[in-house]
Amino acid sequence: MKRLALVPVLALVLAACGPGTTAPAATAAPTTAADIALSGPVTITLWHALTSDPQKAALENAVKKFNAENKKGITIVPIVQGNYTLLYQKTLGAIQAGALPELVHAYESQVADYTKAGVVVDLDPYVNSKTNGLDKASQEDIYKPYFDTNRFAQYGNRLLSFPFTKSLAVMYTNMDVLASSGVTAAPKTWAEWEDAVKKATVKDASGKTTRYGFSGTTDASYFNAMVMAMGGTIMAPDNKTVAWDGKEGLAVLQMLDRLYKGGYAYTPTGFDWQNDLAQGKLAFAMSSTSSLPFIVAAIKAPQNLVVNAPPQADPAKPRTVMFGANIAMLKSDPQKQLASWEFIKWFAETAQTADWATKSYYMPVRKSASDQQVLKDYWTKEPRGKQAFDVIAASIPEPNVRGQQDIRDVITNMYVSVMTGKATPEQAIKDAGTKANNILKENQ
Amino acid sequence: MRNIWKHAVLIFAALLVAYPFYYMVTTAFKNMMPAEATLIPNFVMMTRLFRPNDPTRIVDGYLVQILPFIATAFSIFLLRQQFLGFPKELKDAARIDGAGDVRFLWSVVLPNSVSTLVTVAIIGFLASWNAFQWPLIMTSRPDIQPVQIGLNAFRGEAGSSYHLLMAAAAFVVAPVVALYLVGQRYLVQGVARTGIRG
Amino acid sequence: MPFVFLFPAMALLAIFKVFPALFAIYISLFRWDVIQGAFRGLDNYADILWANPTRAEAFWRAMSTTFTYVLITIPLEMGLALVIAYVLFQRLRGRTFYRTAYYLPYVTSTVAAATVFVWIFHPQFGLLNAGLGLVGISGLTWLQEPDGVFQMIGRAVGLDVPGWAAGPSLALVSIAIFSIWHFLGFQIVIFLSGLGNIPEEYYEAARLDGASGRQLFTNITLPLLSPQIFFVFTIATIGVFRAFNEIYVFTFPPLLGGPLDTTRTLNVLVFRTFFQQGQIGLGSALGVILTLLILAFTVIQFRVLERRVVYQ
Repeated sequence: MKRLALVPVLALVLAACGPGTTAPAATAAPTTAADIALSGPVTITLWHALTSDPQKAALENAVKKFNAENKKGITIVPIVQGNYTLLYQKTLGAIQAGALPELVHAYESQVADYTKAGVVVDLDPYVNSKTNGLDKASQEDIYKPYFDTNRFAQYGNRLLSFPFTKSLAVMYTNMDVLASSGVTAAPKTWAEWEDAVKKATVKDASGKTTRYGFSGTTDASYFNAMVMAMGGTIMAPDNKTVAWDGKEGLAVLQMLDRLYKGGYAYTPTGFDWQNDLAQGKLAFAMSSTSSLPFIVAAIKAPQNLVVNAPPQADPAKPRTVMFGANIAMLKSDPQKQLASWEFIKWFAETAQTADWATKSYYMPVRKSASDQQVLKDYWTKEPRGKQAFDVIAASIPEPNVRGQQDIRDVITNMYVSVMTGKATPEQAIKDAGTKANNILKENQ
Repeated sequence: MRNIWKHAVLIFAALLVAYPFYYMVTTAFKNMMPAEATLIPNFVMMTRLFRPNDPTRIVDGYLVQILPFIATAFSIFLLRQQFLGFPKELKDAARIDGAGDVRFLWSVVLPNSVSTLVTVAIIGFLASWNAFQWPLIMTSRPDIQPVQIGLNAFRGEAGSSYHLLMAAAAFVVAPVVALYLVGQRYLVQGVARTGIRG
Repeated sequence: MPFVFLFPAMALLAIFKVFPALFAIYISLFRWDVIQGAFRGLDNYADILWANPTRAEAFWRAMSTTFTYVLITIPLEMGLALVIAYVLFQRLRGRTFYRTAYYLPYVTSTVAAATVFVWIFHPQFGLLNAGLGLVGISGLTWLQEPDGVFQMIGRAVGLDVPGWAAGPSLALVSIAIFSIWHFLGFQIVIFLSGLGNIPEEYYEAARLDGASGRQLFTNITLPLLSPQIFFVFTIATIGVFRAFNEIYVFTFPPLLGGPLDTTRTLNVLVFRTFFQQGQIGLGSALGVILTLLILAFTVIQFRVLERRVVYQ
């Protein structure tokens, strides 16, 4: 009786699941459809991970504007899918189920995974299309690192996604704290910086730190940014091995090791560092440019807060990490793909990207954005916005190879093992380098 | 609102099954495989079975949150135990009086099982109020997502404003505490009788 | 007629419980790296258990973390629950109040409770550190601490504890503390119901023979409570094997199963392999292994323990 009840149900379910589980072919047919014209109204769905305001509202308003003004019958429907991890989970599931949105917001390593599943559209034909593409001036106007980060060496150096919510790794400094420690200017080199961190630290009679010099977030991007700013590189030129395990990486770890051991630095719980920095309990924090509104909201005297590129080995040639997510176009039909491209293109137009920067605190993608009145007005009101903008020129993207997500975890663990005294910087970086290279080998 | 409708269905379905069901290996289903291992298959299946017209919302709706939990081993087990206590003579007497199965279920079994049904309802309410992982994966529209997801999202948004976080947690816990204080007897009874850990 | 009644619930159980399990087994036989690839037979299993050094290391590490987690949670949780239930059963004044208080955490959602516990465990201004500060212990970083607890205790008293005896990380112990707090009430309720089933005459007879309170407990209560003890042991162990939510809410971000992978139990590894690495085939294989482990464990428990359990 029990079996009788089960059989038809299972058959039904199997029938429902069977065909959809076979994956689409992994080979990307060359898109020749980039030059067509839109023939009728199209609705495009955009999955994104901007869960909170002001970013979420900024995107929704931008989409509303596009829907009202595009005059081509294109309607974009933005759907927030939770944070980036959840968005990735859902996209993975959607790939298995064969029910994809047309546009998806994703980090580079995620785009690489989606490409492996054969669902990502190559954007080169669209960018270069005579009828629908970007003209040469526009292509040059968009910062080069923004293109670089979306070209995937593992996939024939094709442009598989487009800059969307970009930000930079910067150093936030509470100048008030520095002044009270006798430091008058934001440090430019790592040696000056380490000295300032130590000076800014205050300990009570029992030796317990009551004001810290630095808060170290264990995220791999900040380690990468520090390695770059020390003059190092992240990957070997052939992308087959990592390069952050060299002498610059070691110097970063050793420096952090000294700061932690001496009680000058701590690892914050969640976003505590933002309050600490705002309340003068912390001198320096490395974070994304998009943290700015949260710190400004918590601080009494915003003029005391300064945004800079991290200290440098060579202050004349500053370098830092450019990160943040991109937008990828997933395969549908030529009409929808073209409509999706129209949105991507519009979003990167000078007026739009300038407006976006003032409302979302992400970075504009074009150099010409700085001429826009809306951005100038914003900078008058929020000078730290301009300070961050000036760092763009120094920015370099992080690697976008498959396996990068795992390597980030390796870096985090390396960082934690040094900060908690489980390993010496030398041991930790050697082990981590070996692990990372194995991961790269496995993902070739 | 969703919970009321869900529990009406839940109690009805459990009732239907428990009545004739005497020998079922109940916990086996629940313990078979950790939910994490079946998330992808479940996700694929739900998408295939319940794909709404708008393909981008995947399974996003009430149905996906209700259907898998209508038949739970727990409520079946609990009701079965209750029904086992009915003397067989009662059933025979009802048959002689001309009452069929449905009639017997409705006018004899049901009125005498109120306290067990209340237990099932309370435990079901707690499970849906506290639901986290399933809706996290299956849904994406905030207007249909349950409260735990909202709280988790708020943990990210509130950052280190601990006073706000504590207030939010209190809001989320308050209805559960209230219900628990009122229905404590039924809840404890249910757990003690079946020993199933939520 | 019974079939008509049975069908709806059977169908639902088949769809949502049985089918996904079968489908997961199917997936585990393929190279399914984002998308379905070549059939691999049992190669995914081989990779996890020994063939792929990185995978095998992660798996055995997670195995050891899982068993450690079981070992620190279960005995403590059951011991506490037993003692509390026994005390509550002795017609204590305000017994209902205590029972309510102990059971309340169990109905509280993990997310809400974790929100509060993140603050309790906070290294700078957490409740726990404030309390320990009064007795002169300071600077514990709880959920951020990858060091083994034996190692830390050794360091505090000046003993050098070798690496193999470092013990579970303080982070894992912190999560275990939360887990014990969360599930204690459930066990107490079960034990209380078991205690209620023990006939009062047994105690009276033993008292007439001059048995002490301790003798009453070990010679009457414990043996007669053994069905409940056995039951709680089984259920709680399976629960700990499947632990996920509490580890997720406490460690992610920054790194699910951190710090230094010391809280990465098997179930967390399953999730990570699926959703952070996009390895669906390997993730399913891991899930199947975990399921088999739970099944095997349950069977052994029943076989070994059942003989010793005294049924009334």
